[in-house]
Amino acid sequence: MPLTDLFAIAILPPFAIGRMGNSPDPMDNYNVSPDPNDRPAPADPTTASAARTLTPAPTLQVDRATGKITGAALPAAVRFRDADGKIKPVAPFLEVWFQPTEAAPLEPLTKDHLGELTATVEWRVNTANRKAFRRTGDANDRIEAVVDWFGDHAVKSIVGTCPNFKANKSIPFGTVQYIDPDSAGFPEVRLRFTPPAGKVYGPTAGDPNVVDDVYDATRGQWRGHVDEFGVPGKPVPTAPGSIFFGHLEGSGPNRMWVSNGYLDDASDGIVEVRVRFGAKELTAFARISAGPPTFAPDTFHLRTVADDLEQIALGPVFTGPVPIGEAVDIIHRGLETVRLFNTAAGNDNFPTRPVSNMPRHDTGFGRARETIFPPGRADAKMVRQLHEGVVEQVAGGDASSVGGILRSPEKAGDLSNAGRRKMPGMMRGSDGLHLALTRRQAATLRGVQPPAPPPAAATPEANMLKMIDHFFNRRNRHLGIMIDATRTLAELFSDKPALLNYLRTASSKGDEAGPLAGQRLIVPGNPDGSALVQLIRTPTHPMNGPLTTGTVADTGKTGLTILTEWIQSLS
Amino acid sequence: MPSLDPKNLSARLRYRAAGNPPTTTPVSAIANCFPGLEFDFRNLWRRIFVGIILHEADNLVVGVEPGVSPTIAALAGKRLVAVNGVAITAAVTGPQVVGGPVTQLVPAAFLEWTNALADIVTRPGATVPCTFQDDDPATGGPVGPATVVDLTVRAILTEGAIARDAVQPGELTQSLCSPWQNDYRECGCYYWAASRPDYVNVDTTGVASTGHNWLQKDRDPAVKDYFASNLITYEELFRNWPGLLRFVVQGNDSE
Repeated sequence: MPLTDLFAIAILPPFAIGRMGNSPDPMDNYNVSPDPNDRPAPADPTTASAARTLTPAPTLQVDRATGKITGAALPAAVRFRDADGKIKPVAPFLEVWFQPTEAAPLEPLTKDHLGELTATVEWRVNTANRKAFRRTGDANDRIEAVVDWFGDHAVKSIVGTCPNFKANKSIPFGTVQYIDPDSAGFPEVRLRFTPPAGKVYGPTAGDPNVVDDVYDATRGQWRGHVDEFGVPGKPVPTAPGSIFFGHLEGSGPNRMWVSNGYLDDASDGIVEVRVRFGAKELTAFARISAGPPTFAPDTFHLRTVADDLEQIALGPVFTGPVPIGEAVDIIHRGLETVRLFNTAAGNDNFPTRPVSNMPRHDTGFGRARETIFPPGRADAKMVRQLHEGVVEQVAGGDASSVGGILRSPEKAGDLSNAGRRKMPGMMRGSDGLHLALTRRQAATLRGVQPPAPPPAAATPEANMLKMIDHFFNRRNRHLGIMIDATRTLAELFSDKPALLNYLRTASSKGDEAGPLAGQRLIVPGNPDGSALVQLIRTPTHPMNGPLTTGTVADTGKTGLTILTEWIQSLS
Repeated sequence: MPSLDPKNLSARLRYRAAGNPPTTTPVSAIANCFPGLEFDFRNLWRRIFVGIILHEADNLVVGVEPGVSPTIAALAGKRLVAVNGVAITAAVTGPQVVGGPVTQLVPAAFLEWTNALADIVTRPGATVPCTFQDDDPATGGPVGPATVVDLTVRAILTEGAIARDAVQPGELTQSLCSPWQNDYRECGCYYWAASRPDYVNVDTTGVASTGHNWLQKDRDPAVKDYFASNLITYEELFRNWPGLLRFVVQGNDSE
């Protein structure tokens, strides 16, 4: 039935990120697997920590001269540079969707719909770069770009202009093009935003760092600007402050960082669309931005803008059962971060080296400079293995050890040793304190249902064997405990009788042993006299949470209960 | 014909249009912004309360909107310390010497907006009591008696998008480095490692790992010294970042 009316329209995606590149060719499409936007539970927990894969995906071929899509090609490989080695800009499409009635779902608006309604489509774009204005407070330092309403299919330049620019100077913020829906096989109404090349601009002709001297430093104050607090009429500086290219002037207490007046072609703003038919006009808008590329495209960050937006949209509480894939996705992203992070440097294992890290940032609050974790536990090798084990554990349906080690947002200022060892570790949050997940992310992880419960009790030793199996995925937490010249305690998790024998015969040692170092782990028949039990009962010990909360699969008992019953049974 | 429930905000926010690579979606953008890479997302919260404008990274009221009441106008320059009776600051505590007692280091540090305001952002249009104190320029913290003013929560998301009256064009990026290339050297970028790598070509076959610093030029596969001094300079980034920065796949240089 022909369409006779529209209830509403929308632009999807509502927030499209463009990424700069100096190639004339836009980045091809590709898929990432697993895709964090689509979070199925891993079929095999033991492979859940594997790296993601990138594969080519159908790429819309746009004839920029006509605005028509000529086809959807499948590239041979995922390549981020063109044949000349230039980086391809990521140039997103924004589609118009509609609801025919209030109760109907959204669906893509097409050329056929426009024909049925005798409708016209027009777009408007307004982006800006306010970096200089944010610092100087001078409204004439705003770099604004408007592409006013248009409905043709020519490429439109987004031209950033500014009252404090020199005559006839501007900064290109990229282009937009209304893709012609009269494209065979591609009738959807869509716009493409192509971001700029990522160039640097300044006030001085001949400066080799800039591609154009756009800024008039005789009118504006951006060159020579200094971030200062308490100056009437001046904006309160950013945090962190003085994050612009500049130079030092003065000495001693009068030393100051002075702006060289550099600008860039980054921007963000709004795309509007209006659809007119008969006497009716419907509008919608979306956000676009131009930023740097992601240089590790097969990995995703632990806490993303999607996480923050989802909490805003859906709230901090996760109601109902948590899909295991959502929990795995969060932990997997944590693993991806530590795979590209020199955690030993982040832990301040190398205090004489020039490293930016949280232990050094913490001294800004007056805290003593100190590694967060014992240095022997912070190398990337061990940290990776530890996180891989947690990913496998959560993928297996057990997140019982995760909830207790997460940093509560309101505890971000707890810079005690125990507070700084909460997760995420060694990372900075938006407040400059130690990073916390969103409350919704934490609720997701804490909401994972434990594996199906108990029945049958068995002998104390049989339960111990089940406990070793239960905690197998956490074996790598024991990589720091050497049991002889070549083997670590982690390896004994694959040899359960040997592990039980180790517990019977060894003494307490390692970074967490504290005053119990050297005492027998197990005193047969005497749980209270056994160092291992005393350690586990210590609330700050890493094994306290896992062995005192939740139950070991197929036993109905906590790990501590199983351990004490086993020790009691020994003679 | 594909369709989408208009009330499914998560699906709208995560929608990937035909032809768009994954890095066009918000899941590819970092959110622990100090100041950020793609955005300084803290700017999202500056107008969360109708009538006042907050600093993007502090609980300071840096301005008021035109036409507000005298009561709201008087909030300019004050510090927002609690919302709906819940503190949005926290004490910073820790030892001042290694092994020493944990003491209070800072009485009231700002806590990031996303989590601090998570309970009220889902209630656009609601009026909530907000507690303010004067700003102490000497400490950068709150001081003096508390004033409670009822403020209306602004909708941050409308029609599935970031609301137009919450963020003006240019504001999501305004407090990033200028130029953005500075972010790649100045910041502790280890905390954005999954987007802007820190430690690459890592070898874990030895007792401890070895690898390259991502900003190193001329990476020698046989010499993996994270602390080697041959880092890309600011000037080199300004002039030729596309030619110098490398894409990393599966932890290794991919080109």
